[in-house]
Amino acid sequence: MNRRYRTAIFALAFVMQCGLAHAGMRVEITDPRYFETPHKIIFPWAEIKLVSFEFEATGDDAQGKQRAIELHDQFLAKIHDLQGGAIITYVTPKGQKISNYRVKALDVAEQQKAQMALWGRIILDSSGAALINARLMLVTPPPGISARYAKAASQDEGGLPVEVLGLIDAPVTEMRIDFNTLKTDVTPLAYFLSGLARYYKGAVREGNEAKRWLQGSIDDLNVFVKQMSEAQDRGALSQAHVYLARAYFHLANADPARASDLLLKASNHAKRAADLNPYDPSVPAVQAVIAVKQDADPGDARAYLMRAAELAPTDKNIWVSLAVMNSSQGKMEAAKRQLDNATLVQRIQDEAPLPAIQNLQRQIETYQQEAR
Amino acid sequence: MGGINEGWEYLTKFPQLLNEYATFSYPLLGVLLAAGLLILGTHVFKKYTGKNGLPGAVVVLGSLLCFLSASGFFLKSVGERQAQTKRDAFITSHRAPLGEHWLLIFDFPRSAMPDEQSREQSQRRMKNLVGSLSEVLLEDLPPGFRQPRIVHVAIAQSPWEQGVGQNNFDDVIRELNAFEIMWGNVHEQGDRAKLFLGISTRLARNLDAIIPLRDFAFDEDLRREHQFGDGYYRLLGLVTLGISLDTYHRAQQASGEERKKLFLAAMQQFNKTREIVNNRRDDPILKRNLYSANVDAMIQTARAEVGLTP
Repeated sequence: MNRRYRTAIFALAFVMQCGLAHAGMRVEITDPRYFETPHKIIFPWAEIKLVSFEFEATGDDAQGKQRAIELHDQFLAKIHDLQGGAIITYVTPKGQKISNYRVKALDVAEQQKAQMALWGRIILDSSGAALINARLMLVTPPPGISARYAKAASQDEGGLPVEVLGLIDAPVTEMRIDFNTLKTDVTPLAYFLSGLARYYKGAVREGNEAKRWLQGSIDDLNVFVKQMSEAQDRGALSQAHVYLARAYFHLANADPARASDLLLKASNHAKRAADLNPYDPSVPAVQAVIAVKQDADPGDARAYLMRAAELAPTDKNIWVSLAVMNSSQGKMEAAKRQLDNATLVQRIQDEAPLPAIQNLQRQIETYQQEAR
Repeated sequence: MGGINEGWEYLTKFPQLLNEYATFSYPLLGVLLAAGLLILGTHVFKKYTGKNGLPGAVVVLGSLLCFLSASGFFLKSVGERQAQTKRDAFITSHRAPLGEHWLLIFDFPRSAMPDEQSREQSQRRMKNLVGSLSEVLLEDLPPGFRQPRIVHVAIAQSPWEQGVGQNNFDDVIRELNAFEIMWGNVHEQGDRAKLFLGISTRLARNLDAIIPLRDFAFDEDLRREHQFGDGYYRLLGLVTLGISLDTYHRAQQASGEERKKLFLAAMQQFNKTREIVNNRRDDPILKRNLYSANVDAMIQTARAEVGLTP
């Protein structure tokens, strides 16, 4: 504890079960300069850590503190079985506001080695009900989904059939999720966060352990989906469906016996996400990976990737995936065009070369030389 | 005593007379000056040719006409120079530097307020509005968009003290190099106002250049509408659309690699703007502008300019 700033930190809730099962700490900060100096990492052992801040309220309204504490308690209760899960909530004393602390949520979360940071605003409507806008930043995003495959394809120039080794990748690219606008209750938000925390854990595991966390993630996200209406917040609802699609996809990998059924569910959630937010490029990328995994018509996956490239033309990864799809269908010239697009985007943005581009370019050239 | 009083009275009226002449138009001053010179010229000519000059009262009238109209010319041009200096100083201090995005918010014209109390109240509200809008943009503008500066403009000190409206908003934008401006009109009752957002017609092309925002009552919390209500989406959507249009416009002016870079950025910005206000994609104003076929066409043009082939 830094004596110089005499910052008072009260561990109001510190729950520990089974050694380092899950934990939460509410930090009450009294010194406005608190965030200007580095602090010790709280729960350094945590695998999935959420750093949250009291919601900023207008005037002397204490609702922001109260709702943040409610969220803290609800999240903590929901992750009771999530070993390695942790939450730290920063609140200010009565009469003070978090805005006076010049806090940068992302900086604090990075310093605390957290995976997620949450902050927001609160206001009372004319009937006295609280309206909350919450902002979630993924400091370290969880793994997305990808599908590897090897296919024998005949080239469009009529050359010899070639075996194409490919990887269609859909990493998590949406680093921020906005929740607009929750009325009074933070429960849906707690479910979303718990579902996401479980996804973090399940997506990097295999077998039964993966199944356990991913099923938990699906359960929590499904509750969120039921509690939120489309009219209220299509954006956040769409994100919940994307994570449901990803969770089902990973579950299909962990449970091959039910893979077909689980992939169908993943596909349905991804479709729902696309209907809710047709402008989010991560959705068609997820749909493409699921289509590849389902061994669907390659034209479908190609169409999804084209849509993703339309929405995020600067994403080189999408162009490379599109090139892989084209080469797997023997469309070598089209594949080369997509790699040219990736190279062009990379050059315009002064970015470092993506090794995948050069590898695939070499691969295609070899095929074409052999065909001649 | 009577003569002194009369003289003193004339002296006090004289500045008023000078001021009055300074308000006359240049052609009128020219006619008056010509009349004065004609009288004096006739008098001098008559004297020169050995004849009797004009009567003393006529000569005094001619001299006065000459003096007053010449002074009118002088005072008028000095006044104009001062006004131009004030205008230049205002424009210099409120003009956005090249490459920066300034959203200027003009407060309500003073003439629209019935009394001093309502003027103060409306100015307080306007300050709240500026704070509220700044918070939204500071927090929720997505990466890839340069943060615009929100500048509150005291209209009474501006060259447009009579107000900003559809007739002059584009001139204001051009003079101040802003990419968007916001202004308001107060309803007759003085308790409500309507806000408008203006995008430069140079950027707006086939989109709406003037966008009416929602009416609001002076006693209502502006944060509720602009941070939590429909106003949030219109504000965020239209400001990011304005920035995207500006990027697109700059791309058209650029050449070589810079041109491609800006067109690529414009494509990305148009798409991101559509994504972030997706919750209100059915809003009539956003639908007519941001989600319109015109923006689709700009995205396609940008794609072709960058050279991305499907």
